Amino acid sequence: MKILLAALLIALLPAAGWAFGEGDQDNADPTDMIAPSGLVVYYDSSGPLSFVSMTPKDVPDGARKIPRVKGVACQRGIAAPSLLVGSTLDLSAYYGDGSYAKALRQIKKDNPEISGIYDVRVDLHMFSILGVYHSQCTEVTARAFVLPSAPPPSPPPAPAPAAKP
Amino acid sequence: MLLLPLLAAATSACGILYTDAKVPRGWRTASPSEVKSSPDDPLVQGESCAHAVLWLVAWGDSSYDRALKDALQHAPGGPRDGIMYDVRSDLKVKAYVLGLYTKECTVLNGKLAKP
Repeated sequence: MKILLAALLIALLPAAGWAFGEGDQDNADPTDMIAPSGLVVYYDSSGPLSFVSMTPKDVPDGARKIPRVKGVACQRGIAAPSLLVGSTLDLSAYYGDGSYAKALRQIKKDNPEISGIYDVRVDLHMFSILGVYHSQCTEVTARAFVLPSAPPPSPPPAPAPAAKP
Repeated sequence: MLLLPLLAAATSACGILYTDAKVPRGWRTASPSEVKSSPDDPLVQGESCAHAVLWLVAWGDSSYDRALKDALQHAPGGPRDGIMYDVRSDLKVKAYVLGLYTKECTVLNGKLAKP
């Protein structure tokens, strides 16, 4: 029996190593979508997946720096709990845009002058009450920079006055 | 069989009745060559924590942003602005009595360069 158990464990090891190997994932892992429960009658939601942000080295020389900007984008859900505890017959609906794109749009809307952001921290704000209302917000906090404005284009030279006869 | 879901719930920073918690997701930190680093840059540490009780209520802020604020607040020589680099980010979880009370903290260690 012990030999059988040992053989089983050895046989399972490669599978476990394949499943949990670090850095070998090349597919998207949608763990930051708001988690549905019960009978989902509606789901229209966007969540964050990946964002390779800039570091201080990427900020162009001469740019004006802004110490802190923040954008928040949220996914939300509502569930109508049934009377049966643990029932899967709860009706639920999920909606909202918690994507990076939305959070970055909000940063740009609040700070229209910025040219880019760097040193970006991403956090999730989870809120739920009594299992009825859920929200999961993507909070993007960063430093920002503003490129020196380019000089306005010079007007075309005025035509030389025509010589009088 | 019940233990695994309970442990998962206890360490997930989620409460069944009420949850208002921030958790870290991602931070692409800088390396020494990516900031204005100098050998005199101080080592700083920041921590931010979220809590859960009885798997029912969860609250707190264990976000990267809060941990960074804490690190800047407790920088040697007083609070100051700066950019953390060479950052090690760790998760510290304390759970008591099968997770009746759980504290989950994000701990940052790194150096602080001028902004």
